[in-house]
Parts: sequence; structure tokens; C-alpha cells
Amino acid sequence: MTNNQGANPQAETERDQPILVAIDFSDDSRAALLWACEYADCVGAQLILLHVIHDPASNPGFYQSESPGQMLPMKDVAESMMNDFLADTTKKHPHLEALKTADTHLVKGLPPGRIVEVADLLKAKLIVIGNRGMTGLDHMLLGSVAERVVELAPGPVVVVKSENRPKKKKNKKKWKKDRKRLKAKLLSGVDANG
Amino acid sequence: MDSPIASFDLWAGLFGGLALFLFGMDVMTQALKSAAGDYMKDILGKLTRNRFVGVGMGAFVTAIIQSSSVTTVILVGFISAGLMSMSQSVAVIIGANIGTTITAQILAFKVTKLALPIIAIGFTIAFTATRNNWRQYGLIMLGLGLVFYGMAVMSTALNPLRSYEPFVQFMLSMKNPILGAAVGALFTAVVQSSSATTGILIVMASQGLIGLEPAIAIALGANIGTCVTAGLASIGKPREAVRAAVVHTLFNVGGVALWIFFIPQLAELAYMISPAQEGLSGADRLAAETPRQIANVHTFFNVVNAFVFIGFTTQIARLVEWLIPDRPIRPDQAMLPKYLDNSLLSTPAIALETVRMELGRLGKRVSEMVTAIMPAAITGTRSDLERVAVMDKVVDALHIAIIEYLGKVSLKKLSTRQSDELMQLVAIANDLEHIGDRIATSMVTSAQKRIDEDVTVSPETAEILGEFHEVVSSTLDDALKAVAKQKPKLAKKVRRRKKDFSELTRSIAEHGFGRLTADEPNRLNTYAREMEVVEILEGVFIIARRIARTQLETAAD
Repeated sequence: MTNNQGANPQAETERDQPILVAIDFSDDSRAALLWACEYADCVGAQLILLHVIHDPASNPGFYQSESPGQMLPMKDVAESMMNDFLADTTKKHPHLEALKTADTHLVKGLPPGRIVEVADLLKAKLIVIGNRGMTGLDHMLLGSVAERVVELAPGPVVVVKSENRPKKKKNKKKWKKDRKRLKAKLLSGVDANG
Repeated sequence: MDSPIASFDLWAGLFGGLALFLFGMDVMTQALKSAAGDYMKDILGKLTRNRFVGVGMGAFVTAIIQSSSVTTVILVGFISAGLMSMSQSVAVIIGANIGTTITAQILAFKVTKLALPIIAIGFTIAFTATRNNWRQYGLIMLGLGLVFYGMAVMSTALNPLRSYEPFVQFMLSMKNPILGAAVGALFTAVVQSSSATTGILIVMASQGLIGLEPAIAIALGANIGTCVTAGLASIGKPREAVRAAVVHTLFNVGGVALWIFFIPQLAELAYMISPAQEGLSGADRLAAETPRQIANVHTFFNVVNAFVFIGFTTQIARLVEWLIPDRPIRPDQAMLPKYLDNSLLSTPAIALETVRMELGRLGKRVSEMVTAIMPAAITGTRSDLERVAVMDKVVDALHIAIIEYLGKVSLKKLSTRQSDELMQLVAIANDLEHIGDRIATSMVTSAQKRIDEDVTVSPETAEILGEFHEVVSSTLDDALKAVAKQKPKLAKKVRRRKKDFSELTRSIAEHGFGRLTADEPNRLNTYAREMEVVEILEGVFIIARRIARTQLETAAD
């Protein structure tokens, strides 16, 4: 486990009860981070961002794709992804004080178990996690990481959904509709010409 | 008639031939790794998300180095070093079994006659070549020739068994597929080479000592036995690496389970797809046809297995994650090397690459020390200084681990270029440790004197020293980046900073001297401490430039 950012004195006094946000760099985890920041600002708690380095079985090469053609240690890639994610979020939301003093942690392993384990080690008062889940058979067999964390964690867990998600689905549907319409148009054109 | 089983010639020929075969495989694999180590690293580095590409890479690398065990051991090493994930390795492991089929196909040719000419040519090239690459090519041929010659020796030794009834009966009992697979697995696990098992099967078949069906059972068993090597390599490694070894075992055992009860059908298929020797009959025909049939059926089931399992890589990875859960987190692993892996020592090109990554980690620790010392040296308390001094323990521990590992690498056969690179990495590791010592001893001692003498650095001087420190710190970071990412341009940039830095040092010295005349209490002690800080940081700057020069020398080689 590594600690990337220095903590400020105020954070040190709050260290025994930090808020742990699990980050996988998705829109949902950004939503979870924003929610956690607002909450941390309200209660004056230290924020800790945790990313569990784990290449998903269903989509291997998650870290490799950031460095195509190069063999970089996954931890280094994850670290730079985390730094970019944090810098980007801070830039977009400069008013969130908790972000400026947030610590980051990277740990290797299987996400649900590791999130709960780190929360326990850091004595976190709350785990905040995005709800990017699986669908279909995978969901039926394995559930999402968030569901497993809720199941395993002895303390409170907040699961946050991204507002972007339904919009994305709509876009996808719209794109499919457009494609269908275009195809029909092209076919009718062929018919008319032929 | 004396029993051939009790004959000295039989056992001497069998074990001597096997020893030659295994020695030849070893010579060939070592030479191939030495000649192609850098390419292998590049090939695996280009791993994509596409599982079919992964299978292709596994097959290609294994076909080149002629051993699926070596491929899997290399994968275990990469995963231990955190360069690759278990999920990525699944497809490569599946592909590795396709690569091994090339060996069996080559051995099924009547290669024994070619053994001595290949040995002669290989030896001549290996011992007359002046260029390292050509010497390795010569050794590859020499190794291959020894493999063929080992087969020829075993073949001659086994010849009398053709008419030895108890042996023929024993071979007939091998019709039980489970027994055959168990024999194949056990033998392969002992000799740690499935190619040796298929090689011996082909030798026995060419003597008419084994039928196709028992040979298929033994060849299937060899796929299980070969998992032992990677299993042994994964002992004591991180969980991800153990999972990769388990993927190898699951895939191979699953593949055998798929076929073990369809051996007669596999044999039928082998008859269909292999060339028939119409001009021969009886035992001679069997002896002429069976070796190719064994090779073909070996290729068939390995390729089909790959196509069957490629659809289940996600499920295999998840199953293995479920079977091998994480170990609990150990609170402080900072002092342990992360990338240095003894299983990669046999491939020096890759071992040196992992040292470079570990150096990156050591450099990061040193850089953190250099960053942390500045506020502590000027305004920090004794406990702040103590905290910085403790950071040097991690630097020392990593430095020792790197030097120890490089010592092990130096015992391997290295090319001139690799030897030079090794010495340069030693120099860089020593330089980094030297910086750590300067900070932990000289700087901390100076700062403790500041506290003892009750010296207060003025805000104006603190700001100037802070800027000076930033220049040194960023120079060190750039030098480290030049080493880690092998960027000669950046190293040159670091080298060019000397002039600017000298001017900066001079102006700080002038500023400090000017303050000597100021009417301030304790000004002589203040001057001495400030100049000490400048001197130590200057020393760090010089070492950073030296690291950049070493990197440039590496690039020039």
C-alpha cells in the first residue's frame, strides 16, 4: 500500500475517522467522489481515495491500454491514472476543500475484499463507492463490486449512481435508431435506383 | 538369451540419450533466450486486450523458446513484477500449448540422421563466431543437434526391447488411458520437459515399441506434468503469479479431461490426417507411420483445446480468483524490492529491465527524501529531521537488494552490452544511495546544529534556498526519469544545466556573504549553516548529473 500525497495537519487530527472512497476512474466513481467530498466538507473529515489495482477478467489490459506498446508496471500506470483523475476532478470542482487535502492509496488485489480490508485498517467511518455494476448473467452470478462491499463491510457504505448513465444509454439507443434509419434510407435509395 | 532389461547398454543408452536430449534442450533454450530475450520482452510488452492476439503471442514465444514451461515461468515472473496481470496471461498460457506442438512436429521427422552434421555445424559456428549473436545461433544448432543425437542414442538402446515379451506386455497394459496419462504426467514432472516425453514417445514409436493409443494417453499426461515447473516457480510469489500457475494447471488438466475418454477417436483421426506408408507392412509400417501420427494428434488436441478454452478466459480467470483468494495486506512493504524476481535471472535482458524499474522505485524514495529535507532543514524540529533520517532505511534496504540481485545477474552469461549495462546500473544504484546518505547524515547533522545553535534563517534566505532546492530536486527527478524511461535527450538536458547552476550557486554565495555584514544576532553561525545546506544540495546536483551521464553512456552502448 502506498501513500502518495502528504497529509495536512488538520487531516492528521481527523485521521482516525476518515472517509474512504473507492475509485475505478469511471463516471460512477467520480460521482461517488463528489458526494464524499461534499459530505467530508460538511463534517470536516479527511478523505482517502482508494484504487484497487486489479485487471478485470472480462476486459484484461485495463492498465496496458494506457501505455500501448510499452511494458510499464501496472502500479505506475494506476498511480498516474489516479493523479490525473484527482487533478481533473479538482480542476472541475475547485470549491471542494476535501479534495485539496485528500490522500490517495493504491493496493493490489481483488476489489471488494481489499476495499473492506483497507477501510478496516484505516478505521474509516464510511465507505463511498460508485455503482458501476455488471448486467445479465455476470450480475446474476457475481453481483457488482458495490454489492459485494455492502455485503462484506461491517460499517456503513454509501453507493452512488452517476447522473450520466441514463443519458449515455439514451445516446446509445439514439445512435442505434439513427443507424437503423440511415440503413433503411440507404436501402430504399438502392431500391429506387435499382 | 539374456534379458535386455538387465543389459547395461539399454540403461546406459536410455539414460545417456535422455541426458543428451535434456542437455541439448537446455543449451538450445538458453541460447534462444539470450538471442531473443530482448524481442520476447518487446513482444509481450505489446500485449493488447485482444485474447486471440494473446494466444498468438503465447504460441509464437513458445515456438521460439521451445518450452511452454519456460513461457509460463516468464509470465509468472512478469506478473510478480507487476508488469502484467493474471487476466492478460490467460490467453498467452492457452497459446503456449500450441507453441509446443512445433517441437513434436520437428522431432517426428527422421531427424536422427541429421544429428551429427547439425552438431558439427553448430559447434563450428559457436566456437569460431566473433559476434555474440552468431555464437548464440551456433549454440541453438548445437543444442538441437544434441536433442536429435539423444533421440538416436535412445532409439538404438531401445531396439532390443522389440523382441522382449515382458516389455511388450507392459506396453500393452498401458492401453488404460488413466494409467498412460499418469505415467506421462509423472515422467514429465520428473524431467520437467513435455518435449522430452513426446520425444521419447516418438523414439519408441519409431522402434515399434508403442502403439498410437497408449502414446496419445502419455502425451496427454505430459500436458499435466509440465504444469509442475510453473507451479514450483510460483511458490512464494504474489497471489497474481500463483493464480497464473493455477490457470496453466486448470487449462491443461481441463484439456486432458476433455480428451482422455476419446483416445480411440483421436487415434482414428490421426490415421486419417497422417500420411500412410503404403509400401511397408506390419511392424515396419507402424514404426514409419506412428511418429507423425503422434505429432499430428498432439497438435490437434492442443489446438482444439486452445479454441475451446479461448471462449472461457473470463470464467477461468474468475474461477482462479475464487480458488486463490488474496493474502491479507502487509502494512509496510516499502523496504522490500517489488520487481526483482529470481525466476527472471535466467533471462538477463529481462532481469536488467526489472532492475531499472526497481531503480525507479529507489529513485522515488530518494527524491521523496530530497523533497522532505528542505522545510525540515530550514525550519523543522528534531522529530521532523528524525522522520527524514528514517526514510534512509528504506533507501538502504532497497539499495542492498538491488546490488545483491545485480550480483546474481552478473553470474549469468551476459553479452558485452549487458555487462556494461549491469555496471552502469550498479553505479546508478550507488549514486542514489549516496544521495540518501548525504541527506540523512550531512544535512540532518547540519540542521541539528542549527537547532543547537538557535539559528533562525531569515524568510528572504529561506526563499532563496527553497528555489535553489527546487532546481536541485527537479534536476534529480529529470535524471531519474531519464534512467527509468531511458530518455537520452532528457539526460543531455540535465547535463547542460551545469552552467546555469554554477551561476545560481555563485549568486547565492554572494547573497550569503552580503548578509554577513548585516547587523543580525548569531550571523556567523547562520552563514555557516546556510552555506552547508548549499554545499550539500550542490553535491546532490553533481550526483544527479553523474546519473544522467551514466544513462547517456548506457544509451551510447
